[in-house]
Amino acid sequence: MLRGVLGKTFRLIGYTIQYGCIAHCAFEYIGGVVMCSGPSMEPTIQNSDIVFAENLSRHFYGIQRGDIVIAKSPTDPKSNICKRVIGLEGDKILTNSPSDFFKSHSYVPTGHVWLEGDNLQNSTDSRYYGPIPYGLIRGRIFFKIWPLSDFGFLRDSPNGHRFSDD
Amino acid sequence: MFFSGSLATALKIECIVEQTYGQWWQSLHRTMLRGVLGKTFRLIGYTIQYGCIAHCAFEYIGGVVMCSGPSMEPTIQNSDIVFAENLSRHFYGIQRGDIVIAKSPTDPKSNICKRVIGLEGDKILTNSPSDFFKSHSYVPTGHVWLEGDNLQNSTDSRYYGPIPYGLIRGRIFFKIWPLSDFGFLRDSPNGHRFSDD
Repeated sequence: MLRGVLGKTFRLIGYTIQYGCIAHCAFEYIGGVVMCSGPSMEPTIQNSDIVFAENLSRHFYGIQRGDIVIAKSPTDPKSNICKRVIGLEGDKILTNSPSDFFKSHSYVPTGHVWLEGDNLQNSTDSRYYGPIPYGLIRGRIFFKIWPLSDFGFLRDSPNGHRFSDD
Repeated sequence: MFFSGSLATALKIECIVEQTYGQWWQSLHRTMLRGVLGKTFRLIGYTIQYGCIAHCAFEYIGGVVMCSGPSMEPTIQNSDIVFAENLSRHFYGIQRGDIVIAKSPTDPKSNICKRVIGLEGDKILTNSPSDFFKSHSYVPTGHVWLEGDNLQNSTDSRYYGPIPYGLIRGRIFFKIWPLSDFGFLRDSPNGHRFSDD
């Protein structure tokens, strides 16, 4: 009897590993459903919204200005952040708050991106911790699936003035 | 055990296809296409399954890596082959003195191989030995300070600053080629770079 039980256990473990690996690769290379929390992307993404993220753009280096991305937090490697890409490498970025008298610019270094939340008053982003390396980006959010009242593709940035004009 | 399980899975896939496209499938029965299509689906199924398992093994357990460049001499020479494990990264067990592989902060398509000199909160010497005054800085939260063992010929955190922990991909702990240098890796030859409190 023991042999039968052992055989079944191995088969079960084998199936679990196989399908676990396939599911993991699907999430990592194709995309998945994500629940966002926090106020930093309002009004585009509210707290507890459920969105769909795709991971293909990251691997093909197709992230563009205006995309909303999920990235590993540079200050806490265990958590993720969800912000909009304001500048790519080489772009000129406004780094001062609107209340400053003089505008100050800086350039995004090679291999980095500048992220900002849509809710500028309540967002800890690159204005606080600087540009983050492109390697931290995990995926791109492009579609909201919950709440149903807001179902569909995501809006453009409400802060169009943050994008630098050359 | 894997082969019989995969065969059962592949046969299940074939059954589902048969139920969904009943009539179309029946017409194919009359042609030779069925045999070829069946074999193709099975092959694709196997490839996806074992590709995913291999990828997860490399990502979560470890793999063999070939290093290039002079920045880690004499510990790791150009074209050495080493063994890297990825468990420490996931369990946040990277320590001072570990040699890590990380995504380059200046080029996301390439990897770098350096030694961890400081973890978050550590005090780091940021000046070159020729400076008269020592200057220190602290490693920010969630970052690490990397330096190559070959200080004269290494582009590392002294150039691009501390890198986020999230860029680290694995830890190198064993060299397997050349055989004259087979074995666990030596400690840093630059012990003085580790700050003394």
